[in-house]
Amino acid sequence: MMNTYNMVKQEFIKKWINTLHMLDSSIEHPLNVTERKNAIRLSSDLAMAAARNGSTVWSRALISRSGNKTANKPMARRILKKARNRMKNRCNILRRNGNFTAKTGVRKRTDLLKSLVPGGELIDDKDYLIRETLDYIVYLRAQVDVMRTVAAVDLFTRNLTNDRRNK
Amino acid sequence: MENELFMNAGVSHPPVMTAPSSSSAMLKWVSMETQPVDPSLSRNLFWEKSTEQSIFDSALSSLVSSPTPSNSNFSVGGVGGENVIMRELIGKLGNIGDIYGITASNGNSCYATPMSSPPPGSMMETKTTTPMAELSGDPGFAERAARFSCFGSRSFNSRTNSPFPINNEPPITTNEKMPRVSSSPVFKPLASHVPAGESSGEFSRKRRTKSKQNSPSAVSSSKEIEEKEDSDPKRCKKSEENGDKTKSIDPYKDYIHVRARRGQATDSHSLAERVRREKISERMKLLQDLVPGCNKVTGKALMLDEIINYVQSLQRQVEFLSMKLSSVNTRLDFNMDALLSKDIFPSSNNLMHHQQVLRLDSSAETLLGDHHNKNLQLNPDITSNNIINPLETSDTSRSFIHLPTLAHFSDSISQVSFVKTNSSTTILI
Repeated sequence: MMNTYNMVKQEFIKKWINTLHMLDSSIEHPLNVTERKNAIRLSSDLAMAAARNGSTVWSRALISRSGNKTANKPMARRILKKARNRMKNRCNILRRNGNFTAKTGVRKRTDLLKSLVPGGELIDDKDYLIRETLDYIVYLRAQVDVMRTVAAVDLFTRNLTNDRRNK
Repeated sequence: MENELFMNAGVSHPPVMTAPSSSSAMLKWVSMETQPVDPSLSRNLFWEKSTEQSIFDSALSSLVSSPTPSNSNFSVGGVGGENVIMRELIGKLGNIGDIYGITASNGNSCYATPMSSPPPGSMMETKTTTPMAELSGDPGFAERAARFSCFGSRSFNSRTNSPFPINNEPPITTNEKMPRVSSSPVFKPLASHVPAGESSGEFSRKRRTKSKQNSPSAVSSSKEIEEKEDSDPKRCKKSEENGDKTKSIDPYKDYIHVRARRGQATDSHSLAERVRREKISERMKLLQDLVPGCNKVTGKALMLDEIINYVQSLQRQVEFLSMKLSSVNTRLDFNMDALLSKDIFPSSNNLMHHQQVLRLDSSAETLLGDHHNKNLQLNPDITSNNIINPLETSDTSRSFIHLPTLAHFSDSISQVSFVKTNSSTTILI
């Protein structure tokens, strides 16, 4: 029986390792915490989008958004090629609108959702927007799960060593 | 080698990147990071605790409790298997189980279960409904899944001049929608170009329903035939039959059978409108399955609210977790190829693994002595049977003298991957 959610996570992990290696070789040392966090976030987002392999709007938008953010244009371009980019880099830098509070109406909420989902602003059809959101949620969830697991494992081993040392 | 980077998830390291002005890139990143790290996550039920430790409480408890939630019907093997792995991992490693507790709140279990619904949903790509019934205990979900299979197959059968082969989609399908996404080339020029008449998936249905107006006689005759069967009390099955019908329809027929319900308007405008509305409501229902905690919510606006909250909370979690992970300070020296191969773990005893790991841990401890040197790294003897996470020698992660590179971090990730990739219950510590 195919367990696709695990496969999603597995795919994400593989891509994440690759992106981390790519970023790692191009980032100067030492980094402060914020830069490190940004690097991790960027690599994780790129890995999530690459795991989706570019057949959705959000993955392509995420790649080009991340590509615009970094100076690593060669890497971003390579990812875009491999992701069978069909949007031809049309995505501009999408602003995050996280503090918007929609009081009424489906229209406002739809606009807010468009601002949240990468590439959503380019989608006019509400139907398709919801479909993209679904897909995006799945991969976002996979990303969160993997990151959480890694952090938990690390936390645990740290506790374990601390306990051993304190004995 | 570069070409295989993202297609095959190649095991080899990517080549060294040339980074012109990466420092300016750093500055750009910092300045453009508009969202501050928000440790207090959204007001979503499952993330109401604001402390870092409590987030792990809830995370681990959700992982632990999800195999045995009170209202879960989705004990799907793979997801359950992974959770079993995590539970064993946590349970066997000392008193973690007591520390974090199993606070199997309804929220957490709901949180875990909707994600298991997409995996069974992906089975619909093979257009079988019986495995669905086996996989999920929820008959309503199976029925919805069957309906979605009709949607998906409908888009397959419709006229598509996709420039790319459909089979290029990776074997991973996360939910039912993905077959449709891959098969419909309209998503390339985006939905706003529907009036341009590009033929594909559901959008061609719109065009065809409009063309129905041009042939009123044919339309009315088909509707008459359908309305006669309106007395059938089981309308849900009828819509499925409808789906089956469209599945078998020759793709070059240019009208779609839409069944008019009893007591409803039957002109083509409202039919098309109803079709569209039904599609949207189906999507909303699927979103309800995916987004936890919106079962009680009805209405589009509130549903969208929930979805927005969920996406925001997930994004904030990613932000927070990446901040958290930036303090990971582990290093493992091993062969990446060996790691990424699947057959690295024979199905061996959990306890044996555990003991081996502990033995190596203790030996590492004696090796390191009382050094609190953050730069000290382990190069354990890697056999094909055990891989350990080397010990973190620093007490705290607050003060950094020298942050390890991201390669270290990626190494630790790849070993964590074996917790997930192995369906057997071997433990990796």
